Amino acid sequence: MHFHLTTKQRDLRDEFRAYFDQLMTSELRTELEKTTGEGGGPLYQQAMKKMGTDGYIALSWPEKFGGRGLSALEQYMFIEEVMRAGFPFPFLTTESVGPMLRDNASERIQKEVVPGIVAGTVNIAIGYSEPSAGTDLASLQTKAERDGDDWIINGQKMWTSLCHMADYVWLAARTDPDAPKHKGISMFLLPTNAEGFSLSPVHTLGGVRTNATYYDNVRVPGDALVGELNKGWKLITSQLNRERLALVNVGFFSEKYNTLVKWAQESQLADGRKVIDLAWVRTHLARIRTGLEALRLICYKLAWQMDSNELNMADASAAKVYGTELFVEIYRLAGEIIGQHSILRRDSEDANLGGNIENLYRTASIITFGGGANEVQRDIIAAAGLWMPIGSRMG
Amino acid sequence: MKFSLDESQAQVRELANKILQEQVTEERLRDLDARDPGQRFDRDIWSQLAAAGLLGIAIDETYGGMGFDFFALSLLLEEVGRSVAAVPAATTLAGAASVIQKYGSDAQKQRLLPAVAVGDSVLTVALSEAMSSSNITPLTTNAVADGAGYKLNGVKHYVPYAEHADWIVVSAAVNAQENILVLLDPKQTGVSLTSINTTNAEPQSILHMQDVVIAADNILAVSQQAGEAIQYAVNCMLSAYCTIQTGATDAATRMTAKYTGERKQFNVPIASFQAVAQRAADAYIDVECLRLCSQQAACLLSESNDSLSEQRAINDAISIAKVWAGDAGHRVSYTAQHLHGGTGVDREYPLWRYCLLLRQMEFAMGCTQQHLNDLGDRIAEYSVAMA
Repeated sequence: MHFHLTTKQRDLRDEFRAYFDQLMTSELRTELEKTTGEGGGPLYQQAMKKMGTDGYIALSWPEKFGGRGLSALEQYMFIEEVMRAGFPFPFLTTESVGPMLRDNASERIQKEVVPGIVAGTVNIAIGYSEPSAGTDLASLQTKAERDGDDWIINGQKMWTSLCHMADYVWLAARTDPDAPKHKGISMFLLPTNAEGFSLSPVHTLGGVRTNATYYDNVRVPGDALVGELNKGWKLITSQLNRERLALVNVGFFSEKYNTLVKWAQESQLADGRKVIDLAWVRTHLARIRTGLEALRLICYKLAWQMDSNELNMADASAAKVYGTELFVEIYRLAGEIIGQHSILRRDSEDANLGGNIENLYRTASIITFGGGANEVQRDIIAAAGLWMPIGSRMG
Repeated sequence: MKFSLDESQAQVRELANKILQEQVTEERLRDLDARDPGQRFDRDIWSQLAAAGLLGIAIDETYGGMGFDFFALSLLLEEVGRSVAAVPAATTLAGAASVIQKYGSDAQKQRLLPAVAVGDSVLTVALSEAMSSSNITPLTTNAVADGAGYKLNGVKHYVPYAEHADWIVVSAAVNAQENILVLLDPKQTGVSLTSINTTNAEPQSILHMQDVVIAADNILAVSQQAGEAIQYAVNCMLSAYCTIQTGATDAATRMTAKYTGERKQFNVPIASFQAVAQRAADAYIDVECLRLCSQQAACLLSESNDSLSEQRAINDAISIAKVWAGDAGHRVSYTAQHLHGGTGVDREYPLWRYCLLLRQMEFAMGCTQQHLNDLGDRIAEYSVAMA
């Protein structure tokens, strides 16, 4: 049992931190704030390309695919630094969809698309959810039917985030309507310039734009099928643990905690005291720090387990539930410390730190159900962690 | 970062688990329950742990121990919590023996530690005072220089196993800036003990001291070193309580999972109701958070604490772990009882002892809010930054 980073890991962290220090110019930060932190602007695209050129996108990939073969723990540290820096790195593309394409896609896609992911020039949106398929994702109805060698796709997807900037949709579609629901799904890579594809924006409370996407007799070639026919569910779930870990990376709030403490130490109240002199502010900060410490250890343990092949599914779900609910709670505590300034939007006069907290509050409302609803995660914990018999819904 | 035990640590855990799971039987616990609270000390188990070498686990080989570190001791403590064994492991081993080993003279170690390792001697610590918000600053126990030694006056509260102890490690104030840490024989002149009846019936006492003479060879630490030694003793005790809490919350959660999986209502196991499963899952998460924070605290305590930054890291990790011990202990206890229904409060079923232990550990040496307050003060001073 050892709770320190090794020298090699510390060096790696320093390298990442230094890299993002120079990548995150003030111009880029300004652009990102305008795009609600989701990227997509010209400076963001430029930064992604630079990361590709510098070899910083597919670090966890094997060297022969342009990566550095980082371990899960090292990759976790990379995402931690990405998040500390506030760069909206498309980790679902690089960590989840990318490896699935790299390992399972047709030769054409491996040549046309995969190098672009590593180079930072290809953007991929994820087409899983549908209007009637959310938590029960396997009930999805978008269908793909054979027409000669091609596939014809019809249906609708919901919450297809970043799709308005994407080159492809990573799409789950039903290919066998008669099979049990988990066994009739296949995965496709569908170009967004294909005929019959369209989208309409969905504007969210957080200010982030997402999309509804429509598939009206979209024709894709046979080799757009990724992996085996009707084995799509296995592909979708193969990366879930990594996704869950990335969703609750402690780096998301580490630097913000440090900034918040500094702000409380330096900011003067009207009566001459400092904000940090208030007893309740200190215990609020202690609550935040206590919660973050547990999250830090949970995440590192999970990453370490991935590397030593000891991953327990219950622990990945525990991290997702704990982390997302912690974030919601500490954004509230942080907001209370800053006070009424926490309702000032980032573009408001006088917003300062309050604007960041306001933005966090609005964008955090999705995390407890996104990436696997927390109720389902708790069911997984009860079943896989405590061996409790589960209800019939899961069957 | 490494989250697995090495081979020798795994052996320690296995040995402690085997002895305590096999020997701390329901029958034995019921026998203890029937005793007067002050006598709730399972000397048989204590002897068995000694015979297996486990009491000397963190005691140097020179003094009859196995020479492992504090973390190895924490593996035993977790099993003590898991089995609700009625033994003074926290106070004798984690509290007194650790501080004697680190700050005592060779002569003191030779005099005290071998007897602990073989199970012949029980030691305890008297650090807590009534109406005090600090564990590290003695206010109502004073020491006045007396020849080469001191004279002690004052009162300590919540002294675990004092009536069974051969020696008590006591902190006292010399003046506003200076403290001392000394060894006191509970049988010596001027000492009296008042037994108190605690929530889980662990033997505890109020220690009264009136002009108690402390000879020079019973002084453990003075001046600046005394401050460090008191802090160390407090940290070791808090770490032990957090670790015991880890074992106890884990056991209570698993007992609950098993019970709800077997208990049928409406013709199905109640665990299959999502409202039940979700609450048990929250307990699982709490246990995991507490476990990791406690393990980190015990690990850091095993390492060097010479530099200011190392000392701060230890203090912060201890506070964080104790906040979790309080919160997780409280929530897991009520969840376990609630999901057990009436069975959870029936003394024929083992859960009740866990609930009482969890409550006792929650409040021992400062509750959640007190440790949040301490951590908050340190955040004000040096940020406790996220590295």
